[in-house]
Amino acid sequence: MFSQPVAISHASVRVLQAASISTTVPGSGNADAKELTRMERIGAHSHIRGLGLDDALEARATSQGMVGQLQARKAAGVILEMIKDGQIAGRAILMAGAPGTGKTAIAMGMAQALGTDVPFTMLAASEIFSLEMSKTEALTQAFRKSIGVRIKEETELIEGEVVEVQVDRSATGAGAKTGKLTLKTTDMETIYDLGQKMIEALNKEKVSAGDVITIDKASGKISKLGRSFSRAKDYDAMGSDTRFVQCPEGELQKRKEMVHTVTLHEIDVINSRTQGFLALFSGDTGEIKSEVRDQINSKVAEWREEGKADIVPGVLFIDEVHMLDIECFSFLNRALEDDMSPVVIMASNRGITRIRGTNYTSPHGLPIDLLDRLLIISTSPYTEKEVKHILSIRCEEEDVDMTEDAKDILTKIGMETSLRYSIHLITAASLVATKRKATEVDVQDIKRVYSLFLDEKRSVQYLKEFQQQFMFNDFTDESEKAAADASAMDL
Amino acid sequence: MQFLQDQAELERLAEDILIQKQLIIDLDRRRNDNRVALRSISGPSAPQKTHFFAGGLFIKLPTPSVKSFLSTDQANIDAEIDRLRTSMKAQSRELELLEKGAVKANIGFDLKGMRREDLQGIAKHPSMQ
Repeated sequence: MFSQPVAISHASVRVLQAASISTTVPGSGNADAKELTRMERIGAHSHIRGLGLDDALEARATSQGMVGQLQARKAAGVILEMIKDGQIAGRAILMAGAPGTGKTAIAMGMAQALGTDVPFTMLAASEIFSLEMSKTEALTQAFRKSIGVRIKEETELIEGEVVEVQVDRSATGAGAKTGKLTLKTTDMETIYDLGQKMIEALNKEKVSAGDVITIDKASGKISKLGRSFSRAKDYDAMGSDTRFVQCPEGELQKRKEMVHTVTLHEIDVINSRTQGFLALFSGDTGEIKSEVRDQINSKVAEWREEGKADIVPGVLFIDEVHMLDIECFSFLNRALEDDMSPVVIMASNRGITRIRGTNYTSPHGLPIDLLDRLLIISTSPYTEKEVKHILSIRCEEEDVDMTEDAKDILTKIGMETSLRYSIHLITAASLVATKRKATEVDVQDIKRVYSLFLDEKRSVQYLKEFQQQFMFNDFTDESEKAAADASAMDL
Repeated sequence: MQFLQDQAELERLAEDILIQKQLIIDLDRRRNDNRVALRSISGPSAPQKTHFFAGGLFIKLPTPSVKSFLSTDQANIDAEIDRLRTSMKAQSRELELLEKGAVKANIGFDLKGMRREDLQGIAKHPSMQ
């Protein structure tokens, strides 16, 4: 009756599930596997939940973890709207600003605001320099990870309450087992003949009379939805995790539709080798032949023609873009013109500097011809009030109680040194406060950690004073001299 | 007057959907009965001739021809259920449009369906040729 369960096809369910927008995915996961939530850690930008814009795209002063940078956020919001409408594929945006002015924060906010349906790939430019893969291959993969293909998957599945499972064993115990499975809905009841594999699957899922199960028709995968209400009084003692469900209604064999967004890269990997998508899990994708990509592109175009798929251009965010070299830039120039290109957002904290791989200097370290294609958003340094606000938000995010005085001091430190340094002091200060058994972080704790940990300026000061006692200090002098010479030549 | 007409139209659509829903259930029941019947007359122990119940009377027919009748019926039922599901979907959209004035946009559900296997085996790998 059923085709044999194939382990491989279950794996692919999970691949698809990663980008699925449907909440119920029949035929994947079972009662034993609890649903995994995204791993939440407190990272540098974990307090950001969106761009903090209102419906008219005006930036609220403080919202969704965002503070200040009103102009840049508004600009990002406009771009976001265009991305959502699918209007600007193949455009690029540059976010330029001094370090610690919220470039990455805005990118994270955009990613959050786009939702899970639109692919968002984040990469630091230095990631593409790898020995295993050429630079252009790494960039191509990043591009293709940022383009989604929306498809509707149809599965036939049998859903019903188990009335009876009957397994016949031969007297000797040898030979194939056969059996019968009776399923019912509120409207009908029927008997299925079972083969060896299905009996094993039923045993593995511990299916017994009174369970409500679904069977995926294509793969034969069985999943238990729960126990039927009408059989709730069968036993006095039952596990606390027993879930009771209604007996299904209507026909036994139903059609489920799920809409997934898979990325082009995922399709590439599934098709790139003979062993297929197992490579997706091992991460060992290697280089994908351009012939394979061409065939996939034409297949996807065919699906689009037939009304089977939609293309969802996503966003590729390249942080520290000045770390790319001239070859990558010329590749980007070309790749942006492709008709299946995502929106590329780049961020750089450099001013006028040397383009990597050449001796020419250029604004932001990007060649002029690429700059010409970009929309540039600039971020400005935070004001004192904004710094204080960000610190308060971070205190909340890191679960630290802090007095107003301490926050003022920390803000002052943040203005004089850097915002990152003062954010780092929060947790350190809270540990010091815990040590003296205080519930709130006070000025003294801040002072203590300020004296314990040097910021960049004080560290430089320290180096200047004690340079002679460090090892290889004459070597440092040499390189400094060389650097000075080089910059003199540049000028 | 317009209101009454609208209501009548709503009722008609809703009735249609309910009828189709019931029809699918009935067809699925017949599909399952056919399947059980096909199972019982296939295999090594199947008899030469089978009693076939056709519209109120039993006819004794050779098993292979009974099998082919049933298989044709199965194929027809499958196609009919498919057609009903598609038209039910269209009609419930129409109903929603009439009742609420707008269809809640469920992105992607108007695409044609694909199977999971369709994602695989698209490309012929150069090394395999």
